[in-house]
Amino acid sequence: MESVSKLAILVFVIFSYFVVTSGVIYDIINEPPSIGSSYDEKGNQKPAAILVGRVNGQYIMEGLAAAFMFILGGAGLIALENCNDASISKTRRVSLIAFGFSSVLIAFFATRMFMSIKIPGYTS
Amino acid sequence: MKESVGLGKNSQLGLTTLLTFAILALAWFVGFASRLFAIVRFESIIHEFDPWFNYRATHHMVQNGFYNFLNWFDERAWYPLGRIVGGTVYPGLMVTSGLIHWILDGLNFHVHIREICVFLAPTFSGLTAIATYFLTKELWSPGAGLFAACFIAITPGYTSRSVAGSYDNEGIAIFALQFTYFLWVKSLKTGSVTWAALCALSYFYMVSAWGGYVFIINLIPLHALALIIMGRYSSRLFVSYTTFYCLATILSMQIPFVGFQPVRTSEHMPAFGIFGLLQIVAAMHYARTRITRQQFLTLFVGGLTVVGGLAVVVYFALVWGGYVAPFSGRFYSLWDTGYAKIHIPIIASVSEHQPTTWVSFFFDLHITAAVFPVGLWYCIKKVNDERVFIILYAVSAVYFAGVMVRLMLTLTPAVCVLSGIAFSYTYEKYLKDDEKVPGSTGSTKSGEPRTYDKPGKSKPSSSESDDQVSVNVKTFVSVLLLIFLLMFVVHATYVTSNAYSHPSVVLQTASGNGDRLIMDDFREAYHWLRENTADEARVMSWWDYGYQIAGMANRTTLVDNNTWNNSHIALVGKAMSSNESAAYEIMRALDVDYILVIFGGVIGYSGDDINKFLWMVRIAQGEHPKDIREENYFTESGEYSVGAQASEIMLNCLMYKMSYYRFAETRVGYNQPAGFDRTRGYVIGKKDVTLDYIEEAYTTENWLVRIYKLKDLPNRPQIKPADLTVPFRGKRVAKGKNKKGILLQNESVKGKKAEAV
Repeated sequence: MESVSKLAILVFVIFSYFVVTSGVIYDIINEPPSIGSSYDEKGNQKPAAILVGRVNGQYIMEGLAAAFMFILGGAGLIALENCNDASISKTRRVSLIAFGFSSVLIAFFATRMFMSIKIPGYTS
Repeated sequence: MKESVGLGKNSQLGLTTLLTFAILALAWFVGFASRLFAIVRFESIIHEFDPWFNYRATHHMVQNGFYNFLNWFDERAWYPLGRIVGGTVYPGLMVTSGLIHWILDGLNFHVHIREICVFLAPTFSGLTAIATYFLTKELWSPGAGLFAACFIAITPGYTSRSVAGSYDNEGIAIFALQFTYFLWVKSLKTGSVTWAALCALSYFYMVSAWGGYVFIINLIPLHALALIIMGRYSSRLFVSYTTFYCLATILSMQIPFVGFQPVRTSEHMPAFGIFGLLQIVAAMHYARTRITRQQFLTLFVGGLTVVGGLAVVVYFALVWGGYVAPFSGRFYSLWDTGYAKIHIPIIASVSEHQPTTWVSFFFDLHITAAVFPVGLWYCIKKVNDERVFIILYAVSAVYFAGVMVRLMLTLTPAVCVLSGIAFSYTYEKYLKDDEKVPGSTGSTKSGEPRTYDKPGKSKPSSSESDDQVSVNVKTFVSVLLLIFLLMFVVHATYVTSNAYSHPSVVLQTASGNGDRLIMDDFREAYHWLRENTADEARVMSWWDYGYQIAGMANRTTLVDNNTWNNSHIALVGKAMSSNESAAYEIMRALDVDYILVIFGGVIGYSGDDINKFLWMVRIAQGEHPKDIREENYFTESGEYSVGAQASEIMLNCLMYKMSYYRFAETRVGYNQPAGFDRTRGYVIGKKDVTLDYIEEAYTTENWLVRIYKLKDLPNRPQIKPADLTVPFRGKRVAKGKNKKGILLQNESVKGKKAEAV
């Protein structure tokens, strides 16, 4: 019973963390569009996922994607920790490692990519 | 390590202590050094707005003594109201720097108080790191503590408020916050009155330093409540909480600004309620051993219902009767996120009160934003009394950080603690058998010893089953995490250097060939005011610049960043958004001599008064809805613009006129038309601006600051004696019976009679 309710707490915490980091409160107050648009050099309108240049502004989808990446990175780390358990089978271990490793890497590089689109000078 | 095993436990302990000490010292040094970008680039200068007031107050205290400071009535602010500074300020910051100054003076190190103010926040960042180490050590392990200390030393979320020159309450308050939490956890673990009393003392320091103390006085009761509900009540909790609450309440009431708030406002009532609840629970526990189960249940349910109901009734009665103040607007704005926008525009107008976007989370926390839930999960998985505290802290702080950008600051310590736990735990798993395979540590050891060395040692390896991940994978994961840690350092340095190290009093841009261009317009203008205006001259500006005018120009201001009087601010906002003649009346009534506006149209500075202007209109509308309407300042299509489509009211308001007076005479670029505004990116709507009631007094080099002087009232039209054609029609007093000098009864003087007699 204990572990189930703990898992429930985890899901609740992760979900609320996802909601807050995605900037939902900002979305509610400022009501930005879900996706923006920009014009290319020919004058054609094309969708833009990320609001460039403004640190204190965002599109809804952009925030959700970034928050998802935060959660993915965290989940990857938990998976990496769990795969060290002695009790689980080998295939499970390998798949956990693969999942943990890839999701940590994806999360890290994806958020960095978002950031360098958002702030063109961001190089680190 | 290997030799130390042979030498016995003593040298193992010595090595651990030495490592801990060295790592904490390094964290302090790195944290201090990384906050000095602004000083290296510019000079030892106080930043931004609020720090200028803090500096001015500290200076006043050092010169006049502490008691004169507490009694200081500042007649040069909020003209004509004035401000009782001693009673409206958290004096902890000033006292801290004053104390350091006094000690240094006693040692014959004569340092100007400004230098102490500038370097105070970086110095305290090291103390924060140490407090975080102790807190995390109590919560998890010493290794996690060292991780957390290193994180908080450089994490941008905390650096943003504690760079050198940012002389503000938060700089010392985060230390007090962490230290109070550490002492609380310690007192809860030991159940000792001593630790609880120390916790109350630390809380007292926090109260004297920052208004954020309300967070502590609500979080600790929440922790106590959670423990009671989870069935984790213990006599340790009873002893520590009751000691803490009684002492903390009495101590916090010693701060003049706080006064009777701890017993009279709703924000402090939960703490009192939990205090009462704890007494009941303790009585129940006492009774349970002495009466039967049936009696106990009756007593428990009946007693709790009656007392709870009574408490709620009494609370509402007290609120209704005015003995207890209801929750303040700032408090509501934390829960109902739209509240501030509708009811208190002055709170919503501050940029750091805006809701947070994902960028802020990434910018301020970087990898720790993703690692933080992991640490939280470990704490939930292996929960105990004190870990409940960090869980509650983290969850509440995440919510508050989402509501206001500014409250990222309270989230950051929790994130650092939990990330430290997560990293420590993961590294414990992955470096555990380092004695079996020395190669795996050798490759990572050279990378960053201070961040990872500890956790491996904190738990001496115990041989577990070999059915684990292979050594190669372990090494790989360890190196990967290490790379992330290095990226965190790079990111933290980048953000600190580029985003958080601007004094905002001095602006810096890069010229075409990469040289640095320093724009010192603000200080140029304030210096002009200081040198060229009368000492008692009153300067009107939007409230953002009040502290700077008082601090640098030493002139009387009407409104400043201590936004305590909304209607006064609204009056200034009304003057700025009215047309010239209406504004002149307001300004005459307020005895204004000079008006100062910030104008960025020439150099493309976006934080100028035209961009803030809508907030002035909104705040003015809140108080004077008949005279100022926000929609009058929009174009017909409902946009905010000063271009060709701008409304007539917009183009004739005082702010527009002062910003764009003579602007069309200059050109911002070779191929730009006259009147092209660089910040807005279009040509302004009305180029021939004429001023009737004010005159330009001074404009700085880059037009960033423009100062206007109020003209005197025009003289009454003079009539030359020759033009005096009005015939004399007075009734001559007849000589005779009437005595000289007595007027005959006349209709026209009847009204004055009462006065004359």
